[in-house]
Amino acid sequence: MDLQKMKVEDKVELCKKYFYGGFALLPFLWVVNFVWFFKEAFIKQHYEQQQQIRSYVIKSLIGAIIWTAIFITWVTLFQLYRASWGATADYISFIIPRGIA
Amino acid sequence: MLLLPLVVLINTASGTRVQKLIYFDVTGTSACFRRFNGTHQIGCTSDLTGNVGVVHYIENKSDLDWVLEAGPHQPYALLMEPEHFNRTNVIAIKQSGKVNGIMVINKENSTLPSSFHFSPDQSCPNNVNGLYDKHSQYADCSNVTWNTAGNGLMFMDFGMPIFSVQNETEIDYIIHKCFAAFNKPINGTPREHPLCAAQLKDFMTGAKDSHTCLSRTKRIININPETYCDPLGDQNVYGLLKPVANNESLPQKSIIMATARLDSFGLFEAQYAELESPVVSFITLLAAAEAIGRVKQDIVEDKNAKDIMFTFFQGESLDYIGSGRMVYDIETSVFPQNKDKYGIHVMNFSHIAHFVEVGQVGLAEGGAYYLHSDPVSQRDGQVAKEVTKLKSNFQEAVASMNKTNLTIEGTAVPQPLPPASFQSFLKKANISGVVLADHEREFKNRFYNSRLDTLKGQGMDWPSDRPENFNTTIQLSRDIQILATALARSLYIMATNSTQNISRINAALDEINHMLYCFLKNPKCALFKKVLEPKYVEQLAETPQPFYVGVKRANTQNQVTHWVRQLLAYYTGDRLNSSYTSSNCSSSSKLYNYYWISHPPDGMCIRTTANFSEAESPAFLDENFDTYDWSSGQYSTWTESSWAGDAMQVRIFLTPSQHMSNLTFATGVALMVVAMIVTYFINSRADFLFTKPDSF
Repeated sequence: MDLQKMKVEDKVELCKKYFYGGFALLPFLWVVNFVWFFKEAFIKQHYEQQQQIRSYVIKSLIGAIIWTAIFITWVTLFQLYRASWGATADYISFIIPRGIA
Repeated sequence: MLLLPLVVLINTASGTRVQKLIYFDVTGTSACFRRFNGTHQIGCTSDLTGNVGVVHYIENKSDLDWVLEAGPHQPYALLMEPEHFNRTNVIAIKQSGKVNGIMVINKENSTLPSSFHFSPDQSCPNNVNGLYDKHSQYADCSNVTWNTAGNGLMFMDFGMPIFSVQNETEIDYIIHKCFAAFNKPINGTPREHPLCAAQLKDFMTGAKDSHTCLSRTKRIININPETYCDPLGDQNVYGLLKPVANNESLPQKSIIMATARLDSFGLFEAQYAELESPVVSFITLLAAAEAIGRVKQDIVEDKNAKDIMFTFFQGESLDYIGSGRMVYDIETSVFPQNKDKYGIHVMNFSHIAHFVEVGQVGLAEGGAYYLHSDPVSQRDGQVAKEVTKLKSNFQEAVASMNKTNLTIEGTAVPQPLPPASFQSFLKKANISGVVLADHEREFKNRFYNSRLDTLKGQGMDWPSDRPENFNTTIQLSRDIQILATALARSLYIMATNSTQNISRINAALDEINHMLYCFLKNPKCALFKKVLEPKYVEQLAETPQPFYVGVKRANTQNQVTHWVRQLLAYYTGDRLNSSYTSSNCSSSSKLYNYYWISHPPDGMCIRTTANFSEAESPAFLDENFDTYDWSSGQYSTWTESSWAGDAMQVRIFLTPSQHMSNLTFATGVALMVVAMIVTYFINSRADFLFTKPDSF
């Protein structure tokens, strides 16, 4: 989809959809939203609905950052403590490494 | 495109792959691999791609000291003479952190000094699963240390690959063309690069302990299910002389169990102990079974005579897998089989009159054998009385033989039993019984459960390797014949309570020679061709099979177990007349099994009770798997790690120094950068450099 060819109202609608869509445990939508609408929100000449788009873009970024933080924390904890969690860790693993506890 | 045929041409002309020019593959090797029990992992593993170390040949202790103290080129891969591969050295090697792989020399035809002893088993084998675990008086072999040679190496988690190398040509190559040529210090001064290195690869898939790796294997979430480990186990063999049907009554104390074990282990794959434990033990029992089989009518026809159940346990050397399972089956009333499926009367402990086990009996000195009995169960006066009776039965048998050079006596002082299947039974029931052995206190065997427990290693050998030369009698066969005769007569006395006519019971020297030859030298032998079913005769290989329990899989079977069943069936079963053919060798009777054997020239139908019973630890059964306490030592818990098909590899190659490798890499990078710059300039000045053809 080429943003250049869209009407402003449609852009706002699209940005909003992406933002709310992210709440369905889809943090990557927020990342895409941020990257995609970054120019619209911050670089382009001021226009009426820019404030709205800007707010969605910033909120998407915050959401993405929180998700990333949670994700990194979990991965770190899991990698550090997987072996000592024993069977519980095996139970929540999709792939069990070979040759190590 | 023109270049391509040229490249192919050069390749076919030289005919050697670059890989072959770089690596020397060592093929005559056996790997130490990883095993698990309920709480630990033991054995060896390498990294996924193998461990690479600079080769150092350990001919003397000083060579090892040099590596551990002075050697600058760590990590090292050691090539060790067998006498230096002991617990002290291995621990020093492990702690130094300077070694990441070991190759142990194990030449087939080398003779080791008579002082040399090596047993990777514990000094108190099968301790935790035995009868005396945590016993106030007898725990941890505090009374007798049975296996004084035991160094426990088998039960160490080495954390590095260890291989046994067998091929003399390859060993010479490593010592001379690799170590001496590139690595051997000159007057104590280390050599410089290039150095000769070895890559040892045996990456193990499983980890941690049996419960963990089995749970992981059972949990299938992937479309590519992975096996992390397999339970060790196989089948026991048993056979009765006069089976009682389920709808009749089986009198109390009416069955004498005569048992031996079928397995051993060793540190390296396919290099397992064979001679003293288990071959001589089970051949002695089979020979006794054969002798009794010839007079079994006396026992079968005498209503009051006790039955003799010949039993061969599998997996005994790894915490009594077979006997542990039989005890469990008896407890849960499914031995010999669930009574709905099978005609033989279900057995429980009260039906067992006595237990006579053949332990290690191949290395007796001056014909002196000993009867071990358990002091704990003999606190019960009745059991003590029966044990005394059993010992006197052996005395009567010996007396009947007129041999000056044979004694079978109880131990001088009361002491606990050596490692024996009998212990599994005594854990559950007070049964009178004895364990027959060639040692009164510690083992005579210097190589218990080690690759060196062979004819050659024990200082014996077959006179020549001519095929089918089983009929050359060696001293060992004579010793077995005498002992088997005494055992057979003792069992007969126990069963019939009579010494009448026992002098006609004699073990057959021919059969013993045949069995020794078939089990130790070549299974494609006259005896096996006679007693096996026709389709198994075709499958016989000419190399001996390992006496190791192996992993329990649905469609594979330990051949040794099968051979023993067939021998027992042939020796103690009824040989039916020629009205039975391969097509009608069967019956609706649930009491007997009918086996059609290839017995030349016409085949023969055998009616027998000889059969298999499960020899897989109860801990692995579905009903126990989740609830069993894996650290309790109640049942055997041994499993074997899986490994990939290409996991085992040993190869030798030259390594440059780190400096040289860096230089090569840097040169490569520099060349690439230069090439890019040149290309860029040529491209940008293409108009100037290349003239366009006019015609276009």
